[in-house]
Amino acid sequence: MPQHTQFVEQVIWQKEDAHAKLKDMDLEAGKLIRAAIAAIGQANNVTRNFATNAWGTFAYHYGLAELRNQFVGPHWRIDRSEGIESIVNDAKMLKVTFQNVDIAMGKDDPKPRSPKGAGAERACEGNLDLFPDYPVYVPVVAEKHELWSLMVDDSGNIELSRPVVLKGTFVCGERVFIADADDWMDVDRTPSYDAGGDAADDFEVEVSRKLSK
Amino acid sequence: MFNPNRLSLARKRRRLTGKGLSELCGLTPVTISRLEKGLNEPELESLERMACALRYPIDFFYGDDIEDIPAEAVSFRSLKKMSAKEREAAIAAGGLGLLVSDWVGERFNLPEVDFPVLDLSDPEAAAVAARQYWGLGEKPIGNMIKLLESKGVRVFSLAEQTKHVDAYSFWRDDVPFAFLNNFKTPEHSIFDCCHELGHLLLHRHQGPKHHRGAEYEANKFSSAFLMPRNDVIAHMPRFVTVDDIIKKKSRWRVSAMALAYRLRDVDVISDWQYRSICIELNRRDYRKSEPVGVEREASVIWKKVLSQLWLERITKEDLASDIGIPFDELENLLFGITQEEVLHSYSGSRRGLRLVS
Repeated sequence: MPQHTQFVEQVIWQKEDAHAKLKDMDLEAGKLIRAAIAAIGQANNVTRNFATNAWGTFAYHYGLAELRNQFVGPHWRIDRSEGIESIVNDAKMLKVTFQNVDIAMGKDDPKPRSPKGAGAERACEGNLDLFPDYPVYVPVVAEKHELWSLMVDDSGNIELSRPVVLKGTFVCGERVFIADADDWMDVDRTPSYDAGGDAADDFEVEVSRKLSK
Repeated sequence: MFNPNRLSLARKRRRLTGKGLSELCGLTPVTISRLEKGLNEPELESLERMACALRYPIDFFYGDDIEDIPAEAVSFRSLKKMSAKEREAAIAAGGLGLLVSDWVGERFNLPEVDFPVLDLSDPEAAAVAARQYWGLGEKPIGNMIKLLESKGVRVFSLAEQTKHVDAYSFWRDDVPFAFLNNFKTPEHSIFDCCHELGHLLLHRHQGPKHHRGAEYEANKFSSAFLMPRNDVIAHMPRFVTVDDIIKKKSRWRVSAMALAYRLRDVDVISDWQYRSICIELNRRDYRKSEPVGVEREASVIWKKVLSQLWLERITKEDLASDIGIPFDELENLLFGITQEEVLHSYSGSRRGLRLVS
């Protein structure tokens, strides 16, 4: 058994090139971003009274739902096979899941926020062509869809990547960079009012003594 | 000549029933009732006892009729929770406000009324139209009372010490009046002020009795006027948390709850988020108070009037006496603005002026 996985050189699609790649996959960056918006927007409502895993849970549920809201139609359908919730494009043999990760758009491959099991490993079998020497511990099923994950971190960085599961975590053979947090969370969260700012308060209130009294 | 109308008003202001007043001044309830109906003239001694019990100057009871503000013309938002005494006292304060306004109006030039004529039933559209008419664009309003006063509204405060009275407004001879309860948080008062502007603009010609949706419309107007849609969208993060609301509410000087409501209105947050945010704000005590609040607004007109009177060596006590109302009632109506405070702001611009006790 090899100690180190030998894989084909990682392919990274930078943001400026992502459009063409996504178009080829019947996907759109804007719609993927909207799924991330829904995920983080809902997850940000979590307060300290929620369970510790609430952030990821909310992000996952709303991110996945919005992913389906955005894409399910002529090209994409809902898929729940083998316990993996996703959207599937049968014509292109593609499957896209939603995944919370530690850091997206980074130098290193994004890591899932929770360890991946055999189900995820099976789901990634369609990606094994990226890794010729990859050790396989679960039965391989023929005709697998290529699995891609919309990977979103809690800062708002987004990428669409094609992982395999190795020792409970991801190794990505191909990564499409969608957006940095700064690209779309472009509003500062500091108080924006100051007394000398842009408020309207220069109203003239003229009061004068009448001459007759 | 004794004026029964004024006795009735003074009694209502002190939140007394006829029986309550009779117990305080040692007259029978029947006597009080007959006096208020104008069936009897009071003996001087009886009048003195009533005046003492009511803490009103005797001269007050000899003035002309005080204009009645029809209860139907006044819209109270918490009407169901209000007692009759609270309602009557708040309305009676309006009568005293008119006395003060008339006194000041005879002696001072005040801003002319400059209101748009709106033929719009949609509160959001009306808010946009009013902003356009006054050239406010999408800017937050830095001082709501100042804006209203600059457009000709006579604004008085109500010190009703009850949260059941919000505010009310009415038109009298083409001059708009607004009475605001200072017992609420500054944010709530600002919202009330704008709510009354909504009534004055939207419901001016609907007669004294507002239709059932009037309160809802005035609230919508206030929300849209204070928090213009585009400004809200531009200044809020796309993912709004409770902390964001607390940080940003000071821009529009509204309560956290009011901002959350507006965010749902303009689709920045979903119904689900709105519910979650309300629950969390409630947990943090933002439903009943505003822990990080803004400064309370006060009238600019009354400050200027008091300032001028001070220069003429006329104190607030003199003013109350000249109008013939108790000093505390005048204080309540004029936002508790003190002439010392006026003098302080004045001494900054005029050298050599000092407070002489």
